[in-house]
Amino acid sequence: MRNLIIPEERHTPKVVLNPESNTFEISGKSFPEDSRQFYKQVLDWLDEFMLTKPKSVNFKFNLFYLSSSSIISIKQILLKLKDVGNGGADVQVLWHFDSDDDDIRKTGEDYLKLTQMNFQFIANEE
Amino acid sequence: MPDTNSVAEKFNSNFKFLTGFYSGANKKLIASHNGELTQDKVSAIASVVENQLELYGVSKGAVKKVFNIVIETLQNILIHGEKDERGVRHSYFVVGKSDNEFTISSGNIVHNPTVDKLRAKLLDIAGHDERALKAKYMQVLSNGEISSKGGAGLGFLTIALKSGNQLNFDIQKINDSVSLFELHSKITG
Repeated sequence: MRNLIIPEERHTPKVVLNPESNTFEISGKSFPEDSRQFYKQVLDWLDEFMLTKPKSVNFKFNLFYLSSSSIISIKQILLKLKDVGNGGADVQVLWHFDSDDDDIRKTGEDYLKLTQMNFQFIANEE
Repeated sequence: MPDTNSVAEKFNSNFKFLTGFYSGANKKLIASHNGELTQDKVSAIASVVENQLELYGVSKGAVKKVFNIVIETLQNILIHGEKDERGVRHSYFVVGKSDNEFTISSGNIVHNPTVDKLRAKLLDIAGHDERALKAKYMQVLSNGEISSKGGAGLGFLTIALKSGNQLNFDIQKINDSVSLFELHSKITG
């Protein structure tokens, strides 16, 4: 299973999907012009990953800005992760937020409400 | 033959009016842009606004809200701003400070057949209180997909939520083809 590593750029987050080191992470800011195009590679990778029947996935989200279309894309990623879980894996969503950032924390809570997945809320200390 | 100069004239005159407004007492022009917009310009403008607001000692929460509205407004122009008959995608964007209130204004072309739908959408949002807005937001989030244009239908709702529904708009017909859609949102610093 290949890794997917995308470095952080001006409008898009860092993405690290590395099953060998058990690292799954999306961090930084997200406001691409076309969210669908950017996140398609993540969704496609998760489709492939699902076929390897993983046992456990701890997926870290450490985002500090999400544009309105990115918010939909992240939802799609979470639902895909939920499918991975339905296939037998133990999936945990590690939702990081800056301790003084209500917006990102609340977005995580919205996602929890929507997906009913296992969420851990982790405040980043300054 | 549609008079395209009147489109450029209308945009330039509105832009001039808005920027001129902020030369008054207790007012300051924070950022402005007139012309074609690109994704790189979007982040450049957003950075300028963020830095300026921090210089004015605006609270972190308010800076974040303004940044949010700036990105949504600019991306709305990028995704939905139309071209005139000469293929020019006119648009403008102005952020100004008036005492401790920040107003984010934008103008872009919309094709006349789409005006009624756009007006209805914004009037619908204006008619919702905060709780109803949040409910609508959750509904779109739950059902939402990303369109082929790259938008998700959450842009105006996001601006409305961040600004406490301090969202005003105006649609002015320019000629038989196009209208000017102007959007204003306010944040108290």
